[in-house]
Amino acid sequence: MSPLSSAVAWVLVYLLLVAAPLLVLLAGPVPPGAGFWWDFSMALGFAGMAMMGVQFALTARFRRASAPFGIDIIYYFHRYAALVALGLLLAHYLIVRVDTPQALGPLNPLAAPAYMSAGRIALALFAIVVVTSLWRKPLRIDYERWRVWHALLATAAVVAAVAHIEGVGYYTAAPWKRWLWVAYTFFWVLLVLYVRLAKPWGMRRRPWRVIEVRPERGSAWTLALAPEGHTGMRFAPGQFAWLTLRGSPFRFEEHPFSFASSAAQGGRLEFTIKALGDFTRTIGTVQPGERAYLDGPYGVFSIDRYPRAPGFVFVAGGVGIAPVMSMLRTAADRGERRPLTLVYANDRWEDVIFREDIERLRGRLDLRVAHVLAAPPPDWTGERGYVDEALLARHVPAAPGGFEYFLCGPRPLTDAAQRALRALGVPLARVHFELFDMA
Amino acid sequence: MREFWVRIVAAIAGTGVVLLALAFAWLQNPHPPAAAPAAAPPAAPAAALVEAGRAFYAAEGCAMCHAIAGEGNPRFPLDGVGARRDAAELRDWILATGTAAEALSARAVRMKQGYRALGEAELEALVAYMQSLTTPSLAP
Ligand code: HEC
Repeated sequence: MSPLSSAVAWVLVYLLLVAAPLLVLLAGPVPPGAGFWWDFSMALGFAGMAMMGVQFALTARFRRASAPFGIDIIYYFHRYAALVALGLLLAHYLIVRVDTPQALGPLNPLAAPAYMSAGRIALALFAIVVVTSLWRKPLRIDYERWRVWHALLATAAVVAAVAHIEGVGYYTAAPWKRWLWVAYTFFWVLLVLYVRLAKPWGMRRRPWRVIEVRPERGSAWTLALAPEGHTGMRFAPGQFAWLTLRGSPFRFEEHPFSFASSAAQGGRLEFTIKALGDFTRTIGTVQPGERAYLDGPYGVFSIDRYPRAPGFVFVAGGVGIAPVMSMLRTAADRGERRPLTLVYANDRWEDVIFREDIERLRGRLDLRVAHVLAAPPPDWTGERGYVDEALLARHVPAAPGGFEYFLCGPRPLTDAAQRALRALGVPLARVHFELFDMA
Repeated sequence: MREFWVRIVAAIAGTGVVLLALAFAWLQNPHPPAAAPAAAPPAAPAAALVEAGRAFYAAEGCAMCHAIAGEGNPRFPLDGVGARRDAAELRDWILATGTAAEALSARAVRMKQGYRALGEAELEALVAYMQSLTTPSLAP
């Protein structure tokens, strides 16, 4: 299947999963109508729950399902879908609240029946999960802690909601519907087991060993890993993997990093990681010989997706060079002849990661490089300032029919580059970037 | 580009399920419900007892499962129940005893068994209130 048709197929699978409980409801037998607003509200509740349930599947990192889109976009979608689902559940509650408030019974959990309290708890938990995710940074919630709580609270919310649905029980009364609903719940449980047990188990059986930790410019480190007792990982240049260091894969203390090494060399892999956050600051203390685990490869940010492109343009900033470096190194190893352009933005010349390696690659590739420095040394004759339309116009091939553009770096850079490329008449579909905040 | 499609798919999913929910509600309730009567149910002879029953009805949270004159859970309306059932039957339905116990779902039975702790006076008042509900609902 072509990526497009498999993408369409997976979208349809998603829509079907979300609509399934409602279709079952519609298929009857159902209790007689109880008024338009009441029935509408109940149906919204089911719809919201179906969407919330599928949220678990979205983040289970199924490689096949994510391949046509890129897993970053699936996480992005997960955020949108959560908002829609929460909206449906809120509407479910508010309609009853406004239309038939007495049906809600007492708020006090001591006086209210358990299944009604379960519904209220589920709604509150879902709201907490969404708020703490969308505003994790302003709320200053630590990423590690957030990940653990996100999974726990989301699961608790679903359990409470299922208890609420079971307790109310009007629509799930018909035995076959009851079984369907049980099966649906069971599917989520299986999913959680898969993600929490089967997947980490698979990672544990394919361990990696740190063989080198090498300092780079710009307080970055390159971490080289070698497979231990297996053949390693085949990836496309530009892809990334979730890396677990100093911990078991069952603890989910993993972080996504782009491969920086060539995809044309089997076995050994390299990641280049800048010391930015709590985890990345500890990279320099990792010792050769330590164990590591990988979940990957993921991502669609790769020249390999465009075999027929006449050439490629890369715009990178800071450590955003890592996946670009992987693409350049791979291209060199493959004897790539197509024209390549790299616009590489940094603050200071001393901090330009891979400065020397890029220079060496220019001998092996048809590669033009433009360094852009925000704080250049006095004798600097190259580009200075930030990436904008005028700058890109100077370096990107004019009216480049069919070139593909890869942007990787801090958000302000990729945003500016996107705007500039659009102004230069580059079609949106040719501009690629990860939607992750990899830092 | 891809973010654009994300919003499209999320919007399709959201609108799709809302439309399905609307279809469900509409199919279930083919006739637009007439406005629920705003007036209180007609007063019955033993007005004081009925009033007491109305208070117990509210206090016991019967409206979580029942509606009267459009107020409360519309799934099981009680309008007109006074014309339909006699005092003994009403008692059975309130307490989930006798034949009512077999007709009710396990959960409803569990809730209603709780009402067996009610005093005789309260029950009598509830039954009187139920008996006062003789007007069938205008809503289907
Ligand atoms: C857990 C939900 C629940 C609660 C709470 C509840 N009921 Fe019911 N009740 C039901 C169900 C379900 C039926 C069966 C309705 C049907 O099948 O149409 C019923 C039936 C009845 C009936 C007979 C209705 C008819 O149309 O024949 C009466 C009267 C009644 N209940 C009174 C009460 C009173 C009074 C209270 C409060 C003290 C109460 N119920 C609390 C669920 C409940």
